[in-house]
Amino acid sequence: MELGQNNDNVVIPDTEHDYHGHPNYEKVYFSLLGLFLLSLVVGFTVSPILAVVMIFATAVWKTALVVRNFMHVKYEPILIWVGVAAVIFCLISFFFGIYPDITAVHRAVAQ
Amino acid sequence: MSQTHNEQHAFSLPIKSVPQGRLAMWILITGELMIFGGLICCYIFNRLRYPEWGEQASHTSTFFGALNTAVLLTSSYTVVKAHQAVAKADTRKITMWLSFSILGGLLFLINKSIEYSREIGEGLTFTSPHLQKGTDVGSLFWSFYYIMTGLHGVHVIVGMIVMFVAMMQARKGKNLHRVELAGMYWHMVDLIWIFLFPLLYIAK
Amino acid sequence: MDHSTHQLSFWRKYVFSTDHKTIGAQYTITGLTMAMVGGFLAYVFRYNLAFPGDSIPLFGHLLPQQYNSFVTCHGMIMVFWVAMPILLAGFGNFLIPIMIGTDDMAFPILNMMSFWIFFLSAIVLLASFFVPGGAFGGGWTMYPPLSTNGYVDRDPNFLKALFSGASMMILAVALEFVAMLMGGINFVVTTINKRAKGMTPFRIPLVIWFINIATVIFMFSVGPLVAGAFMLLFDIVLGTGFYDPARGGDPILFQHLFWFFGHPEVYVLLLPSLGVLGEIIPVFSRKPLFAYKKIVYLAILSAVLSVVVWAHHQFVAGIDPRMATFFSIGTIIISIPFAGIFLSFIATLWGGSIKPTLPMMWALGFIGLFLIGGMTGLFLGSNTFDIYAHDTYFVVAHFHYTLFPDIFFGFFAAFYFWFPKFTGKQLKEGIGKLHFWLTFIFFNSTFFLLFFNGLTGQHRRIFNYSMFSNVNREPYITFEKIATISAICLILSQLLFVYNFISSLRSGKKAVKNPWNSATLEWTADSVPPHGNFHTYPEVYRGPYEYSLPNSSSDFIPQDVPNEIA
Repeated sequence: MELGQNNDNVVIPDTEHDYHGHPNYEKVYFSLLGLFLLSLVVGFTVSPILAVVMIFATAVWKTALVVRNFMHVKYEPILIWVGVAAVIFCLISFFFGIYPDITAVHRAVAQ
Repeated sequence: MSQTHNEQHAFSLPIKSVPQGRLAMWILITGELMIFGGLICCYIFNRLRYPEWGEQASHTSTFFGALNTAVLLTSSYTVVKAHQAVAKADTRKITMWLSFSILGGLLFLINKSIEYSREIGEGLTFTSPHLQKGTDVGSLFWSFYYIMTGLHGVHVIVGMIVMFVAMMQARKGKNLHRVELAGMYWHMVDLIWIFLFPLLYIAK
Repeated sequence: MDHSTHQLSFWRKYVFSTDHKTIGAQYTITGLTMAMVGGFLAYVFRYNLAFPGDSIPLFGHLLPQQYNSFVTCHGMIMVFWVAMPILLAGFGNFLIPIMIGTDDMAFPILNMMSFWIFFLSAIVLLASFFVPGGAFGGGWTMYPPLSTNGYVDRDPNFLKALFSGASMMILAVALEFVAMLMGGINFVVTTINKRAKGMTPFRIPLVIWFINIATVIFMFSVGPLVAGAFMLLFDIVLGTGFYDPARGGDPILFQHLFWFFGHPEVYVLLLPSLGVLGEIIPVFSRKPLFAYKKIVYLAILSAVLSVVVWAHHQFVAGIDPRMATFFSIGTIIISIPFAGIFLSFIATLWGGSIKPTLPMMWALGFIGLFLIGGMTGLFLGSNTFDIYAHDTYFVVAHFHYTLFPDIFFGFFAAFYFWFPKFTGKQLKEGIGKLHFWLTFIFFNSTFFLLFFNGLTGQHRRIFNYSMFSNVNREPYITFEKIATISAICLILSQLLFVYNFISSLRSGKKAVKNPWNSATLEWTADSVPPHGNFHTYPEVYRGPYEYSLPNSSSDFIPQDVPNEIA
């Protein structure tokens, strides 16, 4: 069933027509590069713990930029937001449910 | 059979619907994110348990990892420019931007194979038998490294094929909406790498 | 899309069909065939449990390794190759397009491919019986280290390891997941985008809601297991150490990965059948479904909760006891939304004009038996009780009291309900009733006594109980014999179903369009709906359960009847 077939009585949203505005992709791209370079630099300059925190914070920020702008989630209806939120919820549940059994167990005990 | 079915679609519903292809691609993406998310969590568990993996991780090449990150970020940018060109139905531009993205994927794979051949040459393989002595658990780092980057690499290849198909159709002006779908898949591939890079290359 | 003009070849029409009804039939028939395989495996090992050492009719002597394989494969087959194709893929394919008033799924070719990938997965699993070493025998959960080292003496030959029973089982399950994911995308996109005009979300029949919620649960929970299955496969075939403590891995990681999926999976299996009940009960009580909107919210709530309770399968595996408390509380809480759903079914029955037709009998049987299963699940959800009962026959009886009503009573209820619509023929009532009562009686006599065997401490998955003095005595030996004989009778009773199915298909009486006076959209289509389902596509003006409205002259109002006419 081809999207883009347009009968006069019904408007079928399809992706050939602009359903949203376009953010400034160049701005987003340079922000991404900037964050990436920051994460590289941080690895060599600050203390290890602060470096780890900052590196993962930049990763999360870059993810948000890509998801919101490149994948246009900023413009998508709430259904898509719910889907993305559900992934995050499931992964958080997964991580914290298993964390005590793997990470907290001293290696000698496990072996 | 009197009317075509399209006329009966109820798009004026409270659930604002998303066109079929995009909705399907989002569902696929969430599924893939769960797979990689699970794998990454497993890696994180083990990484936190074994601080000595930092020593193993120092054998990965930060240079190539960083280069790959830059390549993927740029190819994400070019693919979204292709999507922007769809609105003007400019098939020449679409083809140009998409080929840049495909080239980016190719560059990524070349870098990865250089890395792999160096690491395998040093004996740091999937099972790393020479590291499994006594209580040395370094080999498991490499098992995770290969499975994570390997699975990601498979998705890079799939993404390149998808973009290629979309590009060949867009050149003839057909199915332009598929450019966005290919782009979404490619963004997902990029996203996963955004997480893999610090986990495997920087956290030393 | 004009469906009437193309004439398809035999292969395109019946084998590589893209019509959702044909694909639904393909999934269902494959599932029923695999049920016969799974049933046969159960027959063999049950016979051995009741009469150890005897030669089993139609099989011969059972070796211990075969016993392990059969127990393992019985579980695997029943969950992934019977329940999933019948309840999720079968019901979904048959019901979704026609009940929402559209012509077919959103992606018909993807739909067809999903079936054939599924079919391939069934072949791979059956093939695993014939490789050297036989089918895998380490339990359907495939825990390492048994699945990685202990069972397959890890064969350094890569090809031999790849074609071992364990690897093939993993590959078969992986293919099955791919097929279900492909199908799942279809279900959700079709339901969101292709509904009939006027079918707002809360006019969608309950079964469609529930199948979609089940699909979503499946798609979110299966991801980590796919990763974990890859890791297990590499451990077996390539000798990596993901789950090997000597190399830094941890077997408990696999358990978590498995059950993070495994627990939501049981709700994936349950919700479609509950949805079917939600269709059948209003029709045969001539009353609207009680609290329809709230049931939908409860189901969504249970879906959310289902991803935070998985480790109740691991209470005795050595998990952190504080987490055990957390999971135990969650497990007990998750019974609440399901209790709400069942109470609402009962409230629908209350004061209704009950018609004791065959679908209704299966539905009522489902409710009664599932309540027993569900309540015993509450006991097991408490981590302290589970320390005693884990891996005993108490668990076996519990999950058969939930799964058997879910899979078989749910399927038969749907089958007897929708058979007239999809085949245009009527089933024989008398044989159907006999089928129901025999199934009901023999199911109970098979499994009820096993609760007691479990409580006395009989462990699962053991070939020979002669060393266990608490089990190897009366009355438990007699209970085993009763269970086995009942199981044989249960399996034989299903022949009535097969006979009824085939003979009604061939020479049954013609069915009317709407034999049950049901209000949902599929009954407005022709019996044997054509390719494309409807001649003119319906428009929906009301909800799906308008029965016995106080100010209406008619007994029920179908969904596509506008207000002016009603």
